[in-house]
Amino acid sequence: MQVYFFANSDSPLLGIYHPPVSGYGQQAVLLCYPTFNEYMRTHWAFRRLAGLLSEADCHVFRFDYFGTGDSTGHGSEASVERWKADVVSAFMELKDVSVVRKISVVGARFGAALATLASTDDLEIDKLVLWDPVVSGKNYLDELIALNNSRSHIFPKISDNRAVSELMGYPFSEVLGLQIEQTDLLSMAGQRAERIFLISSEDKEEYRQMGHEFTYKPISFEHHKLNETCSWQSPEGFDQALIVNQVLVKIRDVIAGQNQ
Amino acid sequence: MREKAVTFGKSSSLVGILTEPENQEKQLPAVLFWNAGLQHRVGPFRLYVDMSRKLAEMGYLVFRFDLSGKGDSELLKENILEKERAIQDIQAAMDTISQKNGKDSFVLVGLCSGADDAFPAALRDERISGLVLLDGFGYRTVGFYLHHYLPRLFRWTPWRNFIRRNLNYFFRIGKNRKNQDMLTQEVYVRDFPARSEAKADLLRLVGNGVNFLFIYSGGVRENYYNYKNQFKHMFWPIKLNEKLQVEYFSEAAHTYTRIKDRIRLMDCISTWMQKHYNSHLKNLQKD
Repeated sequence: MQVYFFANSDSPLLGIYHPPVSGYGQQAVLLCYPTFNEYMRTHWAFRRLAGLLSEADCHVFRFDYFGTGDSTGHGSEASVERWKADVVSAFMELKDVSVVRKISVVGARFGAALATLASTDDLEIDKLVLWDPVVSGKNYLDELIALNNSRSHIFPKISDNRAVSELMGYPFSEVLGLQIEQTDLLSMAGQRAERIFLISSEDKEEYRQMGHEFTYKPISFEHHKLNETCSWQSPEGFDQALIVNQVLVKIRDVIAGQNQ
Repeated sequence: MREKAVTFGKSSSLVGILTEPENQEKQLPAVLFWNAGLQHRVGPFRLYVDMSRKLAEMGYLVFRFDLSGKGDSELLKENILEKERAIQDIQAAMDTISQKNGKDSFVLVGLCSGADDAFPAALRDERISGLVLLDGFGYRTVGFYLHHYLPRLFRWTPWRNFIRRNLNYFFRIGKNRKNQDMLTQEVYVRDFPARSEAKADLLRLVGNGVNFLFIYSGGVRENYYNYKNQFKHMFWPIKLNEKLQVEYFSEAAHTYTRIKDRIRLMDCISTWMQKHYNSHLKNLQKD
């Protein structure tokens, strides 16, 4: 495992590269974390997923977006535009470090939305794996605000959605709010991925709509619904490490081609 | 300010981020942060990242890292107790900073389990010149019970719960419910040293010149600390002085969930650092 700062020297991002265990791999996988409290919740799961993929002879790269984790910047300066550019930078970094042509991207929650955004504009992705993706940014924001307000004894209560400077304990800006609100995976066209896998731990109408959307697109789309709870909206578990297994194994399997 | 990733320890299995100030004062101690509970080195709500950068602006070299098996650090297969491993990891971090940056003095900042790791590390290693313990060890006093129960006498909800609990017990309704103490049950039990032992060790470290800043939050109010002067009562007749400062942030949650509480915490720690180290250094330079 190599830990280092990469991208623009003025605002470097922290990246962690996991080489294939055998020393040789033909696939590379970029992991895109979720955001806000879900980033902290999934850190352990992402480390384990990176280990599983590395054992399956993949080059793996995970990184912190601008203003999150160990990367440079403050959360109040973050934007969806900036995070999308970070996905592109990390993709290029993985391409350089792995010297592999086929790169897959795995994103969880809003990280899945960012990966999809990046694939629409800039990247040619082999497999795009969306783990419980945020499909509607507006719904996601509403969920976060509801979760925030359900813990109003520890977080400032939000009454005006437009004037939020702090969400779930993290700095939050109007720009970020607007850009999240405008994110809508169903309206995105032209993803440049060979195959898209939707891995979901819950049954949602918007996931069924996604499947319906892709029947009209020239991209292979598979939906895998798993019986493993992630409880993204649980007020009690908002800061607890997410301990999952089925989801991670399924992602490993669809990436490494062991998908049955 | 510049940050770089560092791997260190046996087999380079531990991971940390070094924050280097623009102008590094050799005589200032380095500051160490590591995991609070299971959270990785960035700390709750990125507290340790913000704190590292703030302290670096004051001239401090800061190192935030993951203990073995936590965050991005690997767990080596060794037959060793977790508490002992934590101390060894902290010492490995100090060795690395000493070798690379020539530091021989360290301030440890620990929250919750981090505070539980920091105190025994200071007993073991003389390079530690300061400890900032956030919700570190604490012991219920008579005052604690008074502050806990007295306000409840005049509120309906605790009485309702008390009556309900006892009715349930009496009529054996809800057989699976445990008759819980009115004091909240902890999610996990922290293994504080015996009060007499903690007191003796605290006196010894203060005597050896170690500076202490204890900060308790309202997040442990239900568990073991709930009023401003409790520390004095816990460790009577130890007196608070230049070497031993105690603060109680009753409004703050255990993990400093609100930005304003984190700002207040950071201000408190940086003022304390300024008083004990920056100002001291200036006086030395004048002399």
